[in-house]
Amino acid sequence: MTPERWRQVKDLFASVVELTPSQRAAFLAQNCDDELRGEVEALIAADDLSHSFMETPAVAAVAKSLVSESLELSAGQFIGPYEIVKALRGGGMGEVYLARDPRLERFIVLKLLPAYFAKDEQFVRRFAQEARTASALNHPNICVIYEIGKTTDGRDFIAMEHIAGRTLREHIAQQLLLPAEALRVAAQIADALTAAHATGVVHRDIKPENVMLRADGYVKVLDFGLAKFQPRSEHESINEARTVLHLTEPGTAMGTVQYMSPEQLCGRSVDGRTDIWSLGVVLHEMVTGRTPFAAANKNESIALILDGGPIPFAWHVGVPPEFQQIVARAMSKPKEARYQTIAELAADLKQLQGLLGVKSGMVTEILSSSQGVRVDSDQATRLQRLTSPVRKHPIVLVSALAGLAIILAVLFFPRASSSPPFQAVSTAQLTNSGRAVSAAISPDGKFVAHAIVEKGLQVLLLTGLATNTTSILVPASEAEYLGITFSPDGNYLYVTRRNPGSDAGILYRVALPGGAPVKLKDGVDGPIAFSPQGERFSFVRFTRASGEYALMVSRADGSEDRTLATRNNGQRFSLYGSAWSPDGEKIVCAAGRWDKGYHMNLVEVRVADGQERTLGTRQWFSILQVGWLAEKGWLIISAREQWTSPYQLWGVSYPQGEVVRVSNDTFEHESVSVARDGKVIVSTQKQHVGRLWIAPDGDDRQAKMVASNVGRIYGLNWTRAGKLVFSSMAGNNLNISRFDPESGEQIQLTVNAGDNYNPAPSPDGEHIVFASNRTGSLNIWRMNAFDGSEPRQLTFSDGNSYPVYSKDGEWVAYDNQSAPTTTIWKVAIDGSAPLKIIDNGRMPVVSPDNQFIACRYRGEIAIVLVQGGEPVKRLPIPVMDWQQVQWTADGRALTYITTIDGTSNIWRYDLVTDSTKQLTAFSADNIFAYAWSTDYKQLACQRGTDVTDVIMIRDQP
Amino acid sequence: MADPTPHVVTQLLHDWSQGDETALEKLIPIVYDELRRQAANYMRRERPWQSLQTTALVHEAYLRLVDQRAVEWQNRNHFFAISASLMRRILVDHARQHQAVKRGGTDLKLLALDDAEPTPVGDDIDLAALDQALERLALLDEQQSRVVELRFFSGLSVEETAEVLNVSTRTVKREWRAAKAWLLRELSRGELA
Repeated sequence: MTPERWRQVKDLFASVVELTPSQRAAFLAQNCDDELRGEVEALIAADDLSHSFMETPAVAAVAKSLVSESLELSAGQFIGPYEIVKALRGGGMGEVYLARDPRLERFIVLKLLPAYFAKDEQFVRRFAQEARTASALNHPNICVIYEIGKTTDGRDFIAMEHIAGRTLREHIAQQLLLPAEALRVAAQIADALTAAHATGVVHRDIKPENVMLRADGYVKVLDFGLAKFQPRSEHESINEARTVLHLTEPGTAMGTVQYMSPEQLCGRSVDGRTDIWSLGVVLHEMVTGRTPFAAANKNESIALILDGGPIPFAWHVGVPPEFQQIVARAMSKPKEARYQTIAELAADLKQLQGLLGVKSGMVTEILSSSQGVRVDSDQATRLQRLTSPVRKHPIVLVSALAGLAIILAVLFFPRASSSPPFQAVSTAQLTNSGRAVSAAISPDGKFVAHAIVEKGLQVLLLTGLATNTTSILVPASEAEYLGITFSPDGNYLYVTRRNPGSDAGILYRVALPGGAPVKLKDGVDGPIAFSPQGERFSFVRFTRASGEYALMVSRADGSEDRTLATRNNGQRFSLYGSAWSPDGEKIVCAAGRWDKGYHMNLVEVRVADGQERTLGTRQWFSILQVGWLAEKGWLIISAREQWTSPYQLWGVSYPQGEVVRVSNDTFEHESVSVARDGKVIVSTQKQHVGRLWIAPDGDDRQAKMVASNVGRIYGLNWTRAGKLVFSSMAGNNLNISRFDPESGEQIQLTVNAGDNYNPAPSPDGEHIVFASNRTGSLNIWRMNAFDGSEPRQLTFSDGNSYPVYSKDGEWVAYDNQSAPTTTIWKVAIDGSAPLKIIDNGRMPVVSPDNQFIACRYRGEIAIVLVQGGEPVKRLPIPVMDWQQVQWTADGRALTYITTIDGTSNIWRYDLVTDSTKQLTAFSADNIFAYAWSTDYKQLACQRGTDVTDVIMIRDQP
Repeated sequence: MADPTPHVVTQLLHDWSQGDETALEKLIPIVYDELRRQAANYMRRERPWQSLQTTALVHEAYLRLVDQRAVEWQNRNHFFAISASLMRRILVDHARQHQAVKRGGTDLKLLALDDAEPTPVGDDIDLAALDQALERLALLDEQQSRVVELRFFSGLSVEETAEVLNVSTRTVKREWRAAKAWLLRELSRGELA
């Protein structure tokens, strides 16, 4: 038949079927030849039979078999060695069955891959390889893969551990988790990921569906490494995302996109940090019930995830800020700003979990556990905020106009400060030894000199930045470098150092690029600062006998001292360095005083006549070094706002005194050195790494670590009941905690009451005395040891700290630093009758017989009678930063810390024989604090190191 | 395993309509799987077999799989036409394999359904044979074969088919009736012979 013929046939057919059977014959006879008529009649015959034919769509014909295929396996069937018990859930990655392994009499979960995967051989091969890698993972928090195999009809299957429990998704749907519970779950997920990442396996699909919660508390993570075989993750790239961006699909396929990291969404290569992101999302969801990027539709979610703006977290009341910080950091959009390893995240999770387990709001420096210089998204945002107003600054706008406008600007805003420098920066770490002590950059910005500690000795190094080569300028010696300054012409390095056995600083000059140090001047106690022309320098001299601090000027050769300004009676100049104004007429230095606590501010001193002026109104707790950005009219200082906050870099405009932050991190930046062009700052960054150990009988071999990150401890003591009390950062303040070394339980005893430190329990264990600045001035307080209740103020002056109970519990000894000379006092436990015991003493401790006080005294240790008077004995025990001696049980000896080659140990000084003996044999780390238990059977100590490196910060205006 | 996303399927459909046969290779298993899933869902939800809304099933499968708005189809009708061709390929393939299984037998074969339940009309149709007949019909009458694809394989109503083909419903009805008769006759030919 031809199409033309068929056309005829069907037209006839169409006409005929409209007719009654009797009419049809006549119609056909009239309109067709025989052959045509035969065709039409055959068709009509078929038509009579075809009323229901094909009226049900084709899919019905195969629906039955379609359905039966999707229920392919039923109970009792075998797949390999496994006997199917029942289907668990359809969809997903093929079918999932509960099965039994008769050989081991255990249940397993069997996953059959979708049939359509089987057609792609390359895919199957890659899949099998990845599944094998994942099956090699052996961790209690990872679901075990037993076998990867093929069914008899060629379908791939995975046999895996059967976990009795429910998914995290099911759990969240019923009930939100408390922050502590969420941390417990997340910590186990992080542990699983740590093990996986260590073998190079990235999960890629961390979400509540892939986390099983077992009744016994175990958390198991499923489907390691399989995610990349999902079409979604292959196609959910930015390009596709863009094409569907205009679509709205309420409620559909929101799925995995909620947990995907920005780089995953963009289809870029992913690493372990994508899991860190996803875990952050899960953390948020566990406590809030929603993912942070939940939106009306998928595309809005994608936009939120990719968008550079701040993360729109919605936190419930009661989620501690530290929890939020962890999540925010895990979900920093640039992966460089996230936790860099899952282990870091795990550490923070556990730390906070431990704290929340006892009491919420208890924070230590848990978020500082990681190292490295980062700009997190908050910080980036802050930088943006700080930089954008600058562009709107009147003078900037005006100067963009023509000359007249500039003249007007100069006329009307002659004092306006220029735009703040270093508001957008790039930071490079120049060293990685962790042992830097001091650093400076040459005026031309081409060299950096820094000292490092090597086996307890200090070495002075010079680094050429262009060639990145470092040479030894002054070999290892026992000298301690206090300051490093390049001469303005770059020909010399001026170093201030303290030689062994002396506490006075001496200035030396070293010719560059290398030469023997030549002694230039005594009585220089910190870094010097050169005048712009280099013919003079300024420095601060501290005279121990009188307690006087003097800001001085000298000629470059060290001759002709002149005192510009002095501080006495407890007031000070910073020993860490001053800075000259570009015109050479003024010197800016930091000065401090006691006035409702200790404060420092910047003072400018006229070189000609020593006239002083306070620069700006801002005060800090402490200011160390000052650098002058000559061309910009700004100073850079290293300063801390409170005793407890880290030294950070700040910009201060000159002469207005306007203040901006330059750094905003958890490191200590203690030095400032600027290049002449004002575009580079060299500083140091220090991080304290400390752990709390318990050593039975002081035996280091039995020492056990009981807390890994309690931050810097300010005062450590045992209670009678075998608990520890110490002070460490919690929230934004130092707070006192009681810590049970057995259980790890930590209870915060002070809260929202300023800084609290130096806790010392009473002999009966009922009370704790401590120092607190809660009223603004620093005084001695007492509180109940059990819960911190009934705080009671014992002293009412300022600068009082280091309290200790007498052995009869009747009085408290403490020291005072607010006067020109430090003093030791005692006060009755009811706060009455304060009595001075001795001048020049610090950090008293009472002997077991309650008769004597041992204390720091004029650079060594002295023993005095509790009634006062001159020392009855003086001991050549070195006084270091945190040295506080302790009595032995028999009162016959004192113990103290000695640090040799960078390793601290505890020694014993026998008061009868005047002999010393080493008690512990730790082979690494410093000891920052230690305490003997009341029965002297346990030694608690905080050991660790300060990791300090040199950094270079470049202005990126 | 996540659901294949609509835009993936849509893109593949588009590629296929542009002549990319590898797109079809990827497309068929996804759509096929989705169909199976849908069928299973219906079985669970609506126990009586006869109430299985096959048309709805197909529609739903498509709605889930194909993002009709995202692709720059020449027009909506083009899209439906392509979809119908795809369904035809899938269902016929399935029928062929299913027959092969029946003939060869396998330990995976199972009868989950109650044999006592009535089977819908059309279950007897040999889709493979129908497919061949439809090929022949297309040589005679392209439009008619399109009507069959849309009505039978894609499950469209007369009205929808008319819209897709841009003809009157009357034409669709007429073509459909003729095609049915012709195809039934073709399929009966072997038996009669």
